[in-house]
Amino acid sequence: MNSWNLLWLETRAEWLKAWRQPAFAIPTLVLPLAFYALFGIVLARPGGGNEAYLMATYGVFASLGPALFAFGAGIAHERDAGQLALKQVTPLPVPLYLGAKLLTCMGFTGLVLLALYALAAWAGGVVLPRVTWLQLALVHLLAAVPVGLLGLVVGLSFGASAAMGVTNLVFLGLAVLGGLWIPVFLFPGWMQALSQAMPSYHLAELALAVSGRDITGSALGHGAAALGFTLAFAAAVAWAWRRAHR
Amino acid sequence: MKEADATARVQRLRRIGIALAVAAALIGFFWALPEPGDERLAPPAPGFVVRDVRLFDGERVVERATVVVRAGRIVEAGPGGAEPSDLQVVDGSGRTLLPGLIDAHVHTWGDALAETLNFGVTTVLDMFSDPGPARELRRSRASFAPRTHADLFSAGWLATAPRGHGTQFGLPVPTLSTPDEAPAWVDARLAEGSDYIKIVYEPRDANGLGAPFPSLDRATMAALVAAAQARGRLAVVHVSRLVAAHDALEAHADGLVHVHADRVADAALVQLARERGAFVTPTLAVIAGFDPTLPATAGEARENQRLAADPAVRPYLTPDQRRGLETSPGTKLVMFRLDTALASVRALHAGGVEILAGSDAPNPGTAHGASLHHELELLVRAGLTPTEALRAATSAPARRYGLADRGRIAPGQRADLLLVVGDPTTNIRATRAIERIWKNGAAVERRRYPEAP
Amino acid sequence: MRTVSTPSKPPHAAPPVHGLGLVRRYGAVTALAGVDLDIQAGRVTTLLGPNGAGKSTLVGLVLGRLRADAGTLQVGGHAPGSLAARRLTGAMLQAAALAPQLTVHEHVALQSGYYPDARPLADTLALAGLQDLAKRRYEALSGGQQRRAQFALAMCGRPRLLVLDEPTAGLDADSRRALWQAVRTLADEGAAVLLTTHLLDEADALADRVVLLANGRVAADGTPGEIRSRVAARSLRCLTALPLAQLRALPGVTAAEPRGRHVALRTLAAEETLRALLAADPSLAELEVTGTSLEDAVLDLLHKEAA
Repeated sequence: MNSWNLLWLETRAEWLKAWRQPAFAIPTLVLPLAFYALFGIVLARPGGGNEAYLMATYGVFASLGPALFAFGAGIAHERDAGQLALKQVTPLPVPLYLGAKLLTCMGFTGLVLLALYALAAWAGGVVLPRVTWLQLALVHLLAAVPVGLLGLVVGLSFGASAAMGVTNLVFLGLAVLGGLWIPVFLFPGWMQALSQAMPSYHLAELALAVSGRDITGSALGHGAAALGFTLAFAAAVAWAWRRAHR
Repeated sequence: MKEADATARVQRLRRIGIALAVAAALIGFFWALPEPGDERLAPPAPGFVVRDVRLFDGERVVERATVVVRAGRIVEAGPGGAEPSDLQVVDGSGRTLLPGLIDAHVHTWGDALAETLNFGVTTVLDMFSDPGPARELRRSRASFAPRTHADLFSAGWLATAPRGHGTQFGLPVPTLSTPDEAPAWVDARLAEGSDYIKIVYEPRDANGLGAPFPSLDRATMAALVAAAQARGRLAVVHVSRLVAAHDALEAHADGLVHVHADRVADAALVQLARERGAFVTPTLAVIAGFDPTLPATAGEARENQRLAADPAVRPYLTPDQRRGLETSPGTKLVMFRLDTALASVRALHAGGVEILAGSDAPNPGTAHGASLHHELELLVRAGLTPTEALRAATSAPARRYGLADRGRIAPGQRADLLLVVGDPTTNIRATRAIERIWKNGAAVERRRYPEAP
Repeated sequence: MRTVSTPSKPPHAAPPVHGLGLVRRYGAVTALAGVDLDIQAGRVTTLLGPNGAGKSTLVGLVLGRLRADAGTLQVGGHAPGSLAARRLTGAMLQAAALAPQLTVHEHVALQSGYYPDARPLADTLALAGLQDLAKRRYEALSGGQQRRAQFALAMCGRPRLLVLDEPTAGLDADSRRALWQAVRTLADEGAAVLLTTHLLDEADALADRVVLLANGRVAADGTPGEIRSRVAARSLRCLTALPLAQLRALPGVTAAEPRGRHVALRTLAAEETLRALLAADPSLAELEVTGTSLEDAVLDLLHKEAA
């Protein structure tokens, strides 16, 4: 069976695994929407002019949930239960397995994004040129890749219960220090320095630049940083996989 | 065998069909998302009548008038008008109707525009902030749809030297260093949507003393002024020293957006300003907040603390605003002296220089909306009559900044109105006794905030 | 009507598993101290041994989950754990689980897709006895049914090497026999089966060859018959009043254990022991003389190793 067919089969299996756990899937999908509805719509006072800004940052926030909780903690659980050991002795090429997980992660993120955009357009008052909507969607969707890889690193490195705790920390760190809840320019200097080390910060700046806002640094620079993080996390996944092997 | 092929083909067709359907749905979704121009703005509020009210129309006082508003605009304003029967009537006896106030120097972010409207300020002139929100708000600025926030006119990013004043907040301010860069810099701001150009000019003096950060040099400042005016835009300059004020006026700046606070304005400066027809926005409110010599008597409340305690003001301040007004600023800027500034304003006003009312909110010691009322009080303390102070917050900034549809109460003008109890043209503090606020002819509910526990 | 498909590959030159001098340590503990292992196609090789003997370590090496500290190991001519090796290996692990949300059909279909020449889905399900459970989710299966599903995954790819680690743990007698039948069928098709078990009756019934591991070395290696014959002992069972100490002192007796009311004696010289026993206890009753079971032989060999 050729690799593409196999990738499709494996992705479909991963998707079904996630989708058939509604207790898992639904909170992951709903959490970012609930946050956005609260902070971007209900609590937003008129005259802020920040509708598109909030949607840009919450779109990045939306990629954190599926990547870290559904798939990061998920793979930790699979490892503890013995599912991973079985997969590792099959002739499934590792890149295909992890690729299928990433694709599923992106799929989940895509679903959240669709709902987020609909909410933003219908109740959040966001108005953007069509090309900008598409570019933003691309950035938000691709954001799931580095964050998904980070989730895999965490999931492969810790047992199921520890992974849950670590995942929560990583989630908070990425969200807060990435400037997804409070803008980075309001941070004290030392916190601003920490933000530079967060992939979520660079992804958010990229999204903001795409949405037409002025950002610190260049879009190209932030894109390069995001790419760097992606490669670093990919290498970390390879290392963690080999460790999980033993 | 054939059977297996057939089922495989059906499966493939089904998969292709599903893929096409999903693709079509996605295309449809993105097509349906709103684009600029798609917004459907609400229709303006029907209208109302204010009768038997003392009217300050932005220039002068009319003792008893009737004002008719329809569809967001003023239709009639004058003594003895007819009252259309289809409109709601508001009794104005014992009250004064003012044009919605204009704060000629603010910095906006977050809830600023909603907070300031809570105090009857219906238009603000922003002197430095991220142009992104202004761009968003500008799309609906011209409409007469009901609105619950003040209108924003903005300079966008200010002009400053690399690491100069304005770059310390971590915002991506685009700087420049040479006069050659000025035209391109101004074009970039106008492309971002700036309504006017603001320049920071804080040079060291001949002894090398001055502000502890770099500044544009005089040539660059002058080039910026010229470039802005060549493109038909106002160029206003931030100064804090007399010499800098002089330089800016010599370079034909349209106005100064602070009064210098190091020395009292001398006759030369007053004459130069009058000859050039420049205006000054003194921002006394923020100087009062920073002056380290206040309060003059120990144990007395500071200016801004008194503002926060004013029972006509306090309930309408947010808890954050109250906190901001009550705390003393961390930095004691020795050269900020309120009495010096008051004396300068007195001299400028007596010399015929136009004064505009601006608060420089939300700097420490100020609050959006409330501080403009404080500024009016300080302008009167500096020698303006209450009517002149009111002009400085209504028709004068509108005229200077080219805001044709506001700042006055006259037929055709935007119905941004403020109804206060009493007569602010004799007692300036009556501006705080706000009974009603209208923006675009629609009533605005004033928001009260409970005391924090 | 489908018949079980016949092996489609000609015999390869490279043996399914060929290992020499395998050493594996965990810190100060040596789990394997120089083990040779050769597994032939078409045969069922059973790894026996007490806990800590090194069975799981050896299985881990064959599957490529562990690396040997010394020695060579090849699976079908490839490095263990490499993609080529995994393509001809099917495995059933002890502490394993499958994704609970997927159905049996989905699991088998997915797994079959990993292998270049997988068995038709219906055949796999039939062999594992899962035809009626195809549409059921894994989490809805009983423990025994889940083991069968894992077995299906192990063999669906028609692997040359089938590694089964305690495959019948938790199965009832019927399911166990059905699995033995399936394993036998697969071996007859030409697969090399490496099976670990601590159930000696299973080894006796299933194995073509037994490898006994003790303290990280191979203590015995041969067919069950050869193992049994290495231990030239017989078993005596009787009802006697004699105390154990006296029984142990009888000529030829290597061990005496109570079995309920009876006593079981192991002896290297059955006739001498019998004569002495009858002389010592005229009231002897319910006498049985049997050959050595594999269990007894193994226990004996292990005692010898320890000694």
